[in-house]
Amino acid sequence: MSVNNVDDNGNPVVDLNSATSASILQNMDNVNYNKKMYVNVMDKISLMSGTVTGILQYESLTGFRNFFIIYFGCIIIYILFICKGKPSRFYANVFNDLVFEHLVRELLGFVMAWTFSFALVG
Amino acid sequence: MEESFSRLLENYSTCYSDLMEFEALKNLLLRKEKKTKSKIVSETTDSSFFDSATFFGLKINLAHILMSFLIKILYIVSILQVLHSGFSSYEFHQLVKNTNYKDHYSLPKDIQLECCIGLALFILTSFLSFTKLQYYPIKPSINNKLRLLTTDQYLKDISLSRANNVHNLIGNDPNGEVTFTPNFVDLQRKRKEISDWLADNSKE
Repeated sequence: MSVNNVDDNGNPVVDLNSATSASILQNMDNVNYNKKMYVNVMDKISLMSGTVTGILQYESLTGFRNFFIIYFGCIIIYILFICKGKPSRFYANVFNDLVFEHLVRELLGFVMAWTFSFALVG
Repeated sequence: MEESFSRLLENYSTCYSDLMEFEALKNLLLRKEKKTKSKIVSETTDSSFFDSATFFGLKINLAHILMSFLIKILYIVSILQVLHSGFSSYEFHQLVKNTNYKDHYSLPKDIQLECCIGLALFILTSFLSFTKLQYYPIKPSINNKLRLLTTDQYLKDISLSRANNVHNLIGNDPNGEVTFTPNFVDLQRKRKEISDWLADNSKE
C-alpha cells in the first residue's frame, strides 16, 4: 500500500507506469547515440548551406530564410527516412531534441560559413 | 557417485546451457518479431559471396563497402561542385568590379544552379551515409559460425525493453563488468570434486 508515493516504512515509491518516471525506462546510451547522429549530420549540412549562401552572395533576410528552409527541410527528411516516420521511438522529446536544442548551434555555424564565403567571393 | 556426477555436470555444462538458452531466446525473439511484422531484426546468410566474404579471418560485407565507396565519391563530387561554383562566382565578381555597371549584373544562372545542385547532392549524400545497425553476436552459434544480424533501422531504440532485446540477441550483458566474475569461482573446490569423482570412478 502506498499513499502519497511513500511506503509503510516512509521510503519513496517509484511508480514505473507514471509519466514522470519515463526517463527511468529509457536507455540513456541510445538516447545520446541518436542525438549525436543527428547533430553530426546537421552540423555538416548547416556549414555547407552557409558556404553556398555566401557563394550566391545572399544578404540579410534572404540568407536567414535560406537557412530556415534548409534546416526544416532536413528535419522533415530526417524524420521521414532516418526515423521512418516514428521519431518518438528514437527521441524522448521530439520537438525539443530535433528542432530547438541545436537551433542556435546550427545557426551560428551557418552564419560563420556564410560570412566567411561571402567575404572570400565578394 | 551419481549425485556427484550430476553435480559436476551441473557445474561444467553451464556454458553449454548458456549457449542453448541464448539460441532459444534468439529464436523466440525472431519469431515474436515476425509475428508482429515489425521487421526489427533479420539475419543474413553467409552463403552468398556477394553478401559477405572472408578475408584473413575477417568477415566483410561487400555491399557495405561498395555503398561507402559510392558515398565518398558523391561527397567529393558535391564538394568539388560547390568549390567550382565558388571560384566561378569569385571570377565573375572580380570582372564586374572593374566595370561601371555593377548593379546591372547578377550572378549567372549556371553558377547558381551548380551551387544549388552541389548543396542538394551533399545533403542527399549525408542522409545516404546512414547505415543500418549491424551486430555480430558475441557467442557463436552451435555450428561455430559468425553471423551478421542486421537491424532494419538507422538509430537505436530508446525504450529500455527494445534496447534490451538487442542486448539479448547479440548476447551482450550491459552489466557484465559487475556480473561476470570468473575470479570468484572456487577453483580448488572444483578440482577437489573432480579428483574425488575420478578416484571413486577408478575404484569401481
